[in-house]
Amino acid sequence: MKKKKNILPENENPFKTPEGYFDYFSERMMERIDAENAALEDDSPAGIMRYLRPALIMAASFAAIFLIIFIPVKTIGPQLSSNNYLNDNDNVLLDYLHINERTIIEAFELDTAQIKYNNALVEEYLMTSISEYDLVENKN
Amino acid sequence: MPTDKLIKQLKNIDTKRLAFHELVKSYQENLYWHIRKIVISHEDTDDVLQNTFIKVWNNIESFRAESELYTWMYRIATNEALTFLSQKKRRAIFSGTIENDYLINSLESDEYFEGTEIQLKLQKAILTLPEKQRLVFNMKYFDQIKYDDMSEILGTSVGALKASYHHAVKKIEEQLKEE
Repeated sequence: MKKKKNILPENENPFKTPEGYFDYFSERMMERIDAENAALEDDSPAGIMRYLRPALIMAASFAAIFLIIFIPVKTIGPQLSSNNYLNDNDNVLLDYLHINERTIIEAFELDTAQIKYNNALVEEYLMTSISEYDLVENKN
Repeated sequence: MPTDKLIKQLKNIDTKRLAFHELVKSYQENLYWHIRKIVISHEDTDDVLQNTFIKVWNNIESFRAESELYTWMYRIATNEALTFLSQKKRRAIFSGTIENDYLINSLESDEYFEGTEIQLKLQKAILTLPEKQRLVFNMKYFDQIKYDDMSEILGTSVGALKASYHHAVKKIEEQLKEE
């Protein structure tokens, strides 16, 4: 039987690679494996902590600064508030007596309005408050 | 080193790195040429080959000696290359080019193609084949892989592979006669 003529060309590989490609491929491959492993480690809890550490240090610093400021203010604060004219105990007493600060002010205003001014009072005020020099100066 | 000893070393964490280096050295060329005929360009082949070995590194623990190590690696390489190609083709379709044009452009612009004119014609004819036929043709014609091994790699029966190769040869011969 006559064998059919094969029209396909020789099965030689027509493709080439850059020079030395296979000499260095395994080294490049191992480097990539190491990089992939390092990336996997970064995804682990220990790896995440490595990224979070700067943020945690900053947060701790803010907390320390806050405590340094807050504790002295908290300690000194009550002493300053004791200088208020009406403290908490006073307010409790005023509530009990059904009076408040406004009531007291109104009472003072009422007293002032009821004072009857007369010449004797005016003369007494002027004698105590103004010197003879002032009187001569104003007359001129 | 015998393959079963290499597999044992690959599965042992203390010897894995050294054994893997040896594995890469042993199989890099065969896998490279297998991938290169699928994706054509050297740069793409380099990417796919690296991804193939990464898959091997990550999955070697799950490798069972039911199949040969090299057929298992060929299967990974084939899947990686076809996945890569389908992504490229999808992008090519979006950019308005016909999907096989991407491969023909790669072939024509490949600075590492040093074939004769008839070899270029042959490669272009191969690129017109359906994907599966192209795979079968390349594996049989250039790599002389046995049908049994090819069957294991591609998950297709030997009969279907023989038929596929026969059709592929006929189509290519017709194309070469026409020109």
